Parts: sequence; structure tokens; C-alpha cells
Amino acid sequence: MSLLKTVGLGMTYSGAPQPALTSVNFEANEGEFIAVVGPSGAGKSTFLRCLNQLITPTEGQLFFEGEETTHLKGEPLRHLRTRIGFIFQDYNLQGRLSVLQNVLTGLLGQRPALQTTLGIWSKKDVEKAHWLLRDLGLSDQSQKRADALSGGQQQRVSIARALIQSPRLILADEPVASLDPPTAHAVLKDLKRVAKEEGITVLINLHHIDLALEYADRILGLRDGVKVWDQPTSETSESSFTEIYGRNLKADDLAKE
Amino acid sequence: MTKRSWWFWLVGLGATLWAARDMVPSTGEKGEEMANALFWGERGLFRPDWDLLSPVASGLTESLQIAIVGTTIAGLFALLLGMVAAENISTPALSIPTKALLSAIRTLPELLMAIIFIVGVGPGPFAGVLALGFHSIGTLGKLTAEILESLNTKPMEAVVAVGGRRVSIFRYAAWPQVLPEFLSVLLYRFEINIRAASILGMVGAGGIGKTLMFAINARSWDRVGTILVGIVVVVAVVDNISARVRAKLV
Repeated sequence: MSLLKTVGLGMTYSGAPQPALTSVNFEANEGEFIAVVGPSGAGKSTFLRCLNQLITPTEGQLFFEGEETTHLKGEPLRHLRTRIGFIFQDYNLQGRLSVLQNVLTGLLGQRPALQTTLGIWSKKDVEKAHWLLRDLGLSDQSQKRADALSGGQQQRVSIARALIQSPRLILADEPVASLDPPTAHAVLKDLKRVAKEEGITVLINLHHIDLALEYADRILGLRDGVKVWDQPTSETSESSFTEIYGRNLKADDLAKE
Repeated sequence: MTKRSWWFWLVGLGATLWAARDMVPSTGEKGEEMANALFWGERGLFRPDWDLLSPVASGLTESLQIAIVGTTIAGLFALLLGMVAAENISTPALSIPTKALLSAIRTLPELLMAIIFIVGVGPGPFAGVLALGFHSIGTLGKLTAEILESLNTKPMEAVVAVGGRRVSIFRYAAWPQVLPEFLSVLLYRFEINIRAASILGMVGAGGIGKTLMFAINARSWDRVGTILVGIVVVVAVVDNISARVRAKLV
């Protein structure tokens, strides 16, 4: 069943001569693990941020769970965002708060503001946060300051923060771009495992084609803000990308690092 | 050396000589005699009068109290005005005039403010509290605005993305960053204010300065010596503790 749909989605940043995203028609089904690939500047990040409206798209329509969400504002928009987890490249944790507090932050849209502002969390919520941390191999870290953790651990905390939302969809914007290759693989494995266990749909931006081929069920290719590829991973190979982009994306990315 | 740095040194030297020309001692030959009485005489600075310890202690305590209350009041106002002055939180229509107001406040020295407040509320520590509080709002408000303007917005974006309200963004993303930095500048300001509070009494605004003024007027350098020792000890202890706490905060 379709969970998310975009119709003619477009985004032009104010003052920019070219649109960052041009009429993208896309549909994601429940439980799919979809990689969004393309060179930097292809519009991957803009696309993901339009989906939970961290950026407001300038054209087209958005549908989530069959309902149009294009022009949501205020309370309804907040409510939409509570059902969508977002994982950032730089983790976006509050480094001065504890790991546990950072995980609980995921519930801020779903619990009474007065209660959370006073720092009061139900036993059930705290237990769930602990359970998620244990599941991601961070049980000993819950009381540490978040900025005391390694990059891979911090990204797992941000995954736990997304999971505690009980989301239908997780958007992950280059979640492993700041991590070394072994850690990147470990984090992606964890993300894929929990997503499959919970039946969560994942859209993940990756600029490493090999990672996309290894983990994704389906691959969406963007170039200059236009959708140029949308096929199951089984129909995709590195050579399809050399064809689309006119160069070997993998080698290019490795050269840059 | 380049041509430019030659000019730099030449102008610097010239300015110093020009300024020093008028800075000569006015006492002439009597100078040495007076200096001897001041430092080493029977009632000189280096022969402190330890009988004075108890009034000095109470004067220092009052100075400390003035600094604590003055800094606290300034901190509260600075937090509010800092938010209004911060360009990323406020609007330009409010931010620009508030920043101008804060710099205007900064230009007025504590002693001048003390004299003005004494006219308003009468001599005593309350005038001192108002003078320190008012003056400190200028610097603290500016620093608070700078803290807010340099906020890391990434954690804030994360709270927006989970559907958090504004109050949650403030409480869970901004406040944990702002609080330790704000406390740190507040403590630093307190270190400055304890120094200021020890001379406020010279114009009648409470604290050890009053005792100091009387001793100086009476040429009782032994008493002045006791008072200076007291001020040095208190300022050093406060500086030390405050610096340790600040190192832990940030």
C-alpha cells in the first residue's frame, strides 16, 4: 500500500536561478527501504526535506497515508511530523544533554508541552528509550553527555530518537556520510534491521552507489533536481549509473575523500 | 621591517612621548619624604592596623552583597534584553534600538551611576546595587545577545522535525546551550563587580569603599593598608572560585 506520494513536486529556493527540484513523481510503499542517489547538488537533500516540510515545496502535491499534506501548517503540520522520523548527517543531537534525554526528545511532538518542559517523562517512555538504546548497543551510554560519544554512537542515538516516535516513515539525509566505512556499514545494518522489524518505510540519501546497492530495495536516482531512475535494486547496477550520470559515481566520490 | 611597520612604531612612540610629557609628579622634592611616610612610616601602608579587621570584614561583606545582588538583577534584565537584541530571535525593528540602548548603558561608568542613584534613593548599599546592576546590563545584555546569535541551530532543527512546539525547541535545543554560557559570563561579570563594589563606597554607595575613603582622608595609611589587604584577599578568592566554576561550565 502506498504510504507516501509526490505529484509534480518542485522546489525553487528564493533568489536561485534554477529549481533545486523539478516535477518529481514518486511513490513509496509500506516497509520499503529506498535509497535516493545522485551526485552532490542533485537535490537529494531538498527532496527529503520537502517530504516532512522542513523546506516548503514551491510546486506540486504531497500525500501521506492517502491524505494530502501539501499545505499543512501549525498543529496539523506538527502532527504530520510526529509520524515521520528524520535522521541528519550531523546527528543534530543536543550535545550537552544526556543520551537518554536526546532519545526522549523524539517524543516532544507527542507529549504535553507543560510536562516535557518541566522535564517530566512517563516511566513507559523512559523504559522505551532504554529499550531502544539497548537494542542499538548503547545501554551503557544512556547517562553520558551526547557529545561524549563517537560519531557512530551519536548517529545510533539519533536513530533511537527517530524510532521512539513510532514513525511510519524515516527520512535519513546522508546518515553515514560523516562516518568511516566500517562504522557506516554497521549503522546502515542497524537502521535496516529495525526498519524491517517495525515495518517502517525508509528513504535514505546516499551518495555511495555501492552502499545503496547493498542495502536498498529500490533506488531513486536524481540529477539536477530531476528524477532519472526509479527501479528495484535488482534492476540496477553500477553501470546503470555510469550511463545515467556519464561517469562512475563511486570512483568520483572516493576520489573526493 | 616593512615601511608600514616603521611608521607604526614611529607613531606609537610619538604618541607615548606626547602623552608622557604632562605626566610628571607635582610634589617636587617633598615627594620622597611623602612616599616614605606613605609606605614605611609608623602609620604607613605596609604596617597594617589589624585592630581594624572587624569593621573591614563587615565592609567587605557589604561589598560582596552589593556585587551579588547587583549582578543577579543585571543578569535577569540582560537575559530579557539579550533576547530582544538577538537578531536571530527578535526582529530588526526591536534588535537595533535595543543594541544601541545596551551600548549607551555600557558607556556610563559605575561611579557616575552610583552618584546619580544616590541622589535618587539616598546614600547606602541600595544605590550601589542599582549602579552595578544598571551598568552590568549593558555588557551582560550584549554578551547574552551574542550567545543567542551563535546558537547551534542543528539540535533546534531536530526538534522541529519531530513536531516539537516552540517551547520544546527552546527547552530541549536552545536552553541547554545558552544556560552554561550565560552563567559563565554572569560569573565573569561578578568578578568585575566585586572589584567595582569595593570602591563604590568612596562616593557613598555602600561597602568597604566608605571605610577606605575615611582612612585616606585621615591619612591613616596603616588603615588603608588593612583595607587593601582585605580587598585583595576577597577579590583573589572570588576570582579563583569563579574561574574554577567557569572552567567546569563550558
